[in-house]
Amino acid sequence: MNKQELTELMHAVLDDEATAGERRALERELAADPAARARFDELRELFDGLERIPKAYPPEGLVAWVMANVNIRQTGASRGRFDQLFGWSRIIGLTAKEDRGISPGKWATVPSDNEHGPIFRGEHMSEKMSGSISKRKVLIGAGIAVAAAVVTTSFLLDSSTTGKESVGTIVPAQRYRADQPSASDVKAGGTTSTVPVTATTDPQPAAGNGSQNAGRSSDNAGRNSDNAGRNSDNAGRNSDNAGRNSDNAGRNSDNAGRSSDNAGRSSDNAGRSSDNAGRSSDNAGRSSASSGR
Amino acid sequence: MSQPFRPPRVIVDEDTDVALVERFRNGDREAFSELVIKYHRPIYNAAFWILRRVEDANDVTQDVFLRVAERLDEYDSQYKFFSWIYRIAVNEALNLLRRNGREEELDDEVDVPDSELANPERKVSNAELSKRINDAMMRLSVNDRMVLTLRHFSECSYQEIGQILDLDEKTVKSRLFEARQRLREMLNDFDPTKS
Repeated sequence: MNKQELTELMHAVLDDEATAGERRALERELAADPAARARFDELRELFDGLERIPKAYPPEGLVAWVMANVNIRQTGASRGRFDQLFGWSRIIGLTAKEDRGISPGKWATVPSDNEHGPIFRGEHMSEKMSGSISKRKVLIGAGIAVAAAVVTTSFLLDSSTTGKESVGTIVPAQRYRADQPSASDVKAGGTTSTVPVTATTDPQPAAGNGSQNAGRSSDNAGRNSDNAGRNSDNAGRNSDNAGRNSDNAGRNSDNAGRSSDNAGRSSDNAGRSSDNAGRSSDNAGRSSASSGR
Repeated sequence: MSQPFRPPRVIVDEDTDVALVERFRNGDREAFSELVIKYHRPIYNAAFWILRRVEDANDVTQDVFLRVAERLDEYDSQYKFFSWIYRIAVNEALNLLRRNGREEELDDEVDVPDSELANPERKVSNAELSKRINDAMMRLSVNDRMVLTLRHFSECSYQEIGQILDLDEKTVKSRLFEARQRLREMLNDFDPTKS
């Protein structure tokens, strides 16, 4: 038995993997060779030292954590195949993973991607979770974009309606202006278009009454003239409001475009659209107020 | 030669393991709890000596048992349960090492149980020797650490190590021999009396 074979035999004996015959052979070698005995004693010291290395103890709560989280997996595993096809296994996996994040094991330190291992190729939950998150982000972004587009579209429709309402506020003013009697319609002592019943039912109009009527008519003519001027101003303001609404519509259109490009910006644009809607509403309110005057 | 050979290894009651596995397959959570309680320490310990970081060892141990619960239907009872679970643990640990891309800084945070150092006279020498072996182990390659861990800390036989690492017994024996040779060389390098 050469030195290499003797050393290997020492290892096998110390590993408790030698046969009874091999042990006896080693005993004979060690008894005959003090140097071999010294080597064997040194090797045994190494084995004893390895045995004495303190064990690494797991943190408390590991068993409880496993038992708490294995329920989730079991729930997923207990579902039928049909359920698995349409189920939320990735969400369940995500939940388990998130739970790990709060565990004492600091699971969050583990990279989310999985380089394929020799056995569990492509089966790591975090790998699925990563893909799931990115898909979800896309879906959420698309949802925000659609919501922003809906808000913008509804605002545009609302803007045009507001524009009509702006015109509508002019209509009563125009109707009122169309019925205005002109200065030539006013005749002293005669009937006025504003009091036709009196003119036709009073067979004896007094001169004083005629004079009063002439004064009233003159006042009315003045008021009508003022109203006409105000209506003209209102028309101008409404025209301005319509222009502002048009600008707002243009801004909203721009916002809608930006919303399509970027889901994150869409939310801001929606906010701007909302502001614009508020301005339009204010404008409409002003228009209404002007009409009221 | 008062005690030339190793003490008998810890006996793993494989029949109990198989019974627990069967109970868990039938929906008995308590059976799985017993398996976790029984194996979480050795699995954690093996993971720690492969990964050398307590956080990673904890992560791997957690993941091992979740995988065991998921894949228990794949367990072939002709193999020992602990060999199967160790194999999962080793692969999980190696996967984590690959993901990290490199071996991280050494982690010396080993929770030394009091019972290991109960004898005051042996406390200093044992602690010193343990530290030297610990330091040397930490500097071995992952392959050396794996076989030494399975053999000395998990007390696996050559056959069991072969099943866990998918190696034949002869290769296991050879790897163990070489790993110990390298460990001895490192210990000699670290030995303050020889420097």
